[in-house]
Amino acid sequence: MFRFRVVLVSLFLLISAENSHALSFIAKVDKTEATLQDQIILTLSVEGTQRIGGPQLPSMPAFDVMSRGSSTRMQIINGTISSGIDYNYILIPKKTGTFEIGPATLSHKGKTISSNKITLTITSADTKPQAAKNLFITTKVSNKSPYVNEQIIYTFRLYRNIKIANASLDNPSFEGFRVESLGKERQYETVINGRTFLVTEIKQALFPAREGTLEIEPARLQCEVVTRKRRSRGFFDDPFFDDSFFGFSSTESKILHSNPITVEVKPLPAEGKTPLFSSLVGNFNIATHVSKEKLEVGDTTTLTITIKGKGNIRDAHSPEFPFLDSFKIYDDKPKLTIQTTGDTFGGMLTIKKALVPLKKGTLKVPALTFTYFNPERGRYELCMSTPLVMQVLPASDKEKLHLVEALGTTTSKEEIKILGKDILPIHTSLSALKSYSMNLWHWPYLVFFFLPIAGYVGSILVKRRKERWEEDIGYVRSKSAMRKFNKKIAEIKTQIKNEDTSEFYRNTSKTLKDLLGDKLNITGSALTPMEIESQLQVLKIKKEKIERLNKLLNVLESGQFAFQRHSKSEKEDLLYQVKDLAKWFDKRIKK
Amino acid sequence: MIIIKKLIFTISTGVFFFSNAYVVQGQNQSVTTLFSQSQKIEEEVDAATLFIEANKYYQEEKYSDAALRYEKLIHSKVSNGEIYYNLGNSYFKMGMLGKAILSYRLAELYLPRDEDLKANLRYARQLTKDKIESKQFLSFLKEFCFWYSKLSIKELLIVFLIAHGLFWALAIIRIFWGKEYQNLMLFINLALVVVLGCSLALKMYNYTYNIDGVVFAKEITVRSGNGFSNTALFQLHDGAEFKIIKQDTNWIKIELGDGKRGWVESKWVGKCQLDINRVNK
Repeated sequence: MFRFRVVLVSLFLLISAENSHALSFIAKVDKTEATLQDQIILTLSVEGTQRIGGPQLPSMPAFDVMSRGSSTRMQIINGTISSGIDYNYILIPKKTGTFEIGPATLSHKGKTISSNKITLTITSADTKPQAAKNLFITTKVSNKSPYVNEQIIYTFRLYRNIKIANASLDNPSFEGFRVESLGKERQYETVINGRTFLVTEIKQALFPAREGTLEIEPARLQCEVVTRKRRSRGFFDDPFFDDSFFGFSSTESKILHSNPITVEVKPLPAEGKTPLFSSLVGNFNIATHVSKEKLEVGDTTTLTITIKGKGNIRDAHSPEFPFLDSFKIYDDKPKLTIQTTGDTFGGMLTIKKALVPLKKGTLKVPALTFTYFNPERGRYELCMSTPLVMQVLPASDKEKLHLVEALGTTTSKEEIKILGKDILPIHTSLSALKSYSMNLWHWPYLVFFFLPIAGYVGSILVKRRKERWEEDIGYVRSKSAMRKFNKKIAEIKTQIKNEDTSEFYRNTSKTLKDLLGDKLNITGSALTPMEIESQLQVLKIKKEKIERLNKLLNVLESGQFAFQRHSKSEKEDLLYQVKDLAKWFDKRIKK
Repeated sequence: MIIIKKLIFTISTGVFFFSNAYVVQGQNQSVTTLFSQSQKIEEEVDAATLFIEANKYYQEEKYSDAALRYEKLIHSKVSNGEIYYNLGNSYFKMGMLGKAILSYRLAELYLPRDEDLKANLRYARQLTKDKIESKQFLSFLKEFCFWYSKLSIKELLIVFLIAHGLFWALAIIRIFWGKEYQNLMLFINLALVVVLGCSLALKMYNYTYNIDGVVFAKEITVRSGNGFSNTALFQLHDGAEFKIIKQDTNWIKIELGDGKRGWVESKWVGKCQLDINRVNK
């Protein structure tokens, strides 16, 4: 129960602690005096709360600042609870002098809290003599007043007699120089003032690109110095465990600077400079060589030109090659080989040309020349190859024949080479003058489109008619009635003309009756006027027409049996009336 | 006499313009019927001399003179693929890629199977500056429907009419002498007529409404709207081809093969349509 109460009280205190105590904000450093090689740890600690945003650092132009994170803490001392947070930073000095840091600021609940100020004194690292130090770097150049493009050797050395780890070297940018590496770093031991140092040496060849004063910036080496901690003696007190790997030693970060170097670059002297100058500075020579000195016309020999020496070999190019009309010359790509012998940069440029002699006899390749600048002697020097002489024999036929044979038996086919591209020529035939209409709404097309359809429709009608023709006698009679009638009437007409009137009434009456019979699909000739009347009344034919028909039929009947004779014109008139009536009936009675 | 002739020509072409969807240059048979036979012969002789002259200029590498004469021929009665082909060649030699491509395209409407023409058109297209990726998913269909691409619109019409006539002829035969096997023949023929008819309709539709355009100028700017104040979208160079979607008085809305759209000034664009107004540019 009591315990529980204690916990409750302490919890209450914990909560109230943040409110009851005012915040404090303190800046601390691990040392106030340091050298350029040291690092300073800056701690900004906040007392009174843990829940707070990060502090605002003051501007520190003399230092490089790196954040190392934060840590929180809580303490209960005599019932008083204090909590806080520490922010850690590493300051790396960039220059010497006395600097004031701060104040750092912190904003909490709308208020700004400032820390205290700290004064730091940074002294140069070189206050101690080199030999007395355990770790230092040096840089130097072989020649501080070179000519433009003359190579100078830049040497970086790291001296140490203590253990270091994670070393990283920042080479200067070598502005104004072309840099060539001179191989891998070298390690050796040396003794200075009786102390043995391990030396790491890196060499580089520098070629000044322009004249004037050039400065080589200091080299910067960052490393961690391993210091052994003798905390405990016992089980692990063994050299094997004396290693940073096992964490029994601590490390200290160090940054080493070398001194800057000033180089005065001299221009190449104008005196003696010729158009043949190849822009090479150093010491060079040239050599020529042919693969075959005795050959035949059309044969190939390889001419090798070698420029070799120490200096800016990368600037080397083929010396001017004279025009030779007795040879066909094919150039090959020049090949550059870099050779670094010890402390100097140099190499070899190999230029190969294939020569094909075009005529027989003794042919010469003249000497090739160029000049380079020799800085050791301070003057331009001429470089000349020995002229070459070749014995060229006439081409032998035997080999040619062989060549032809070889070609003859070859079966491989060559790809067609496109030599050029052009459009195909114009069409010149006069047939091109024929106009070709693209008009689709031309009447023949429409005709051709509709004609088959019309043909089809017509065929259907023809077919249907034919079918009825075959099946329906009444229809056939009705359709052919008028034709028959007209034929008969024509016959009667000729009879009238020929004064042959004996059969006029009978024929006319029969013809009319036949027509009606055909139309009504009954046997017409035997019809009586009464029968005809009743049939026609069924078809709802006008009364006056029926009467007229009856009248006509009566006239024709009586004409047959009575002795009533009409004149020729009267007969024709009668015939006309018959025809007229027949036409009307033909139209009226359709089947 | 010449004035009357011209007048009749204009009237007749005007009539054709309004009455037909397919206006073709030199489409003036009505003129020839109005004049005597000797007149007709004289014109043919004129055309022949013009043609021979043009060919001669071409051979002498006076391409602009040759082109002028071919244009004249097209302006008068003679309009066919060969003349357009020759005109295209002349423009090509003059370095006017756009006009050359347009002429070849027009020639293609007449001569869809001419290999010379195809080779030249392909070469001319190779020389154009703009690389336009076109959506080629229809290319297989084009190969398959060979009658669509390998026949000119008129040839397609004639083939269609023949199939059409054959179909009705078979139908008539079937009415009078109906046999079982004829049904199959009739069905096949019907399918043929339907396919050809659809192709013809599609071709006619494309011919009338889906007009292609070609750039004539060295470089034109395609804008987002029909005015100079609109944003410049991209540039096209001589010979670039596209589809014309919409035509305003001075501006044309275009679509490239890869789907890019925009407006260009119509005076720098040649329309791939057999049209009297085209040559006036």
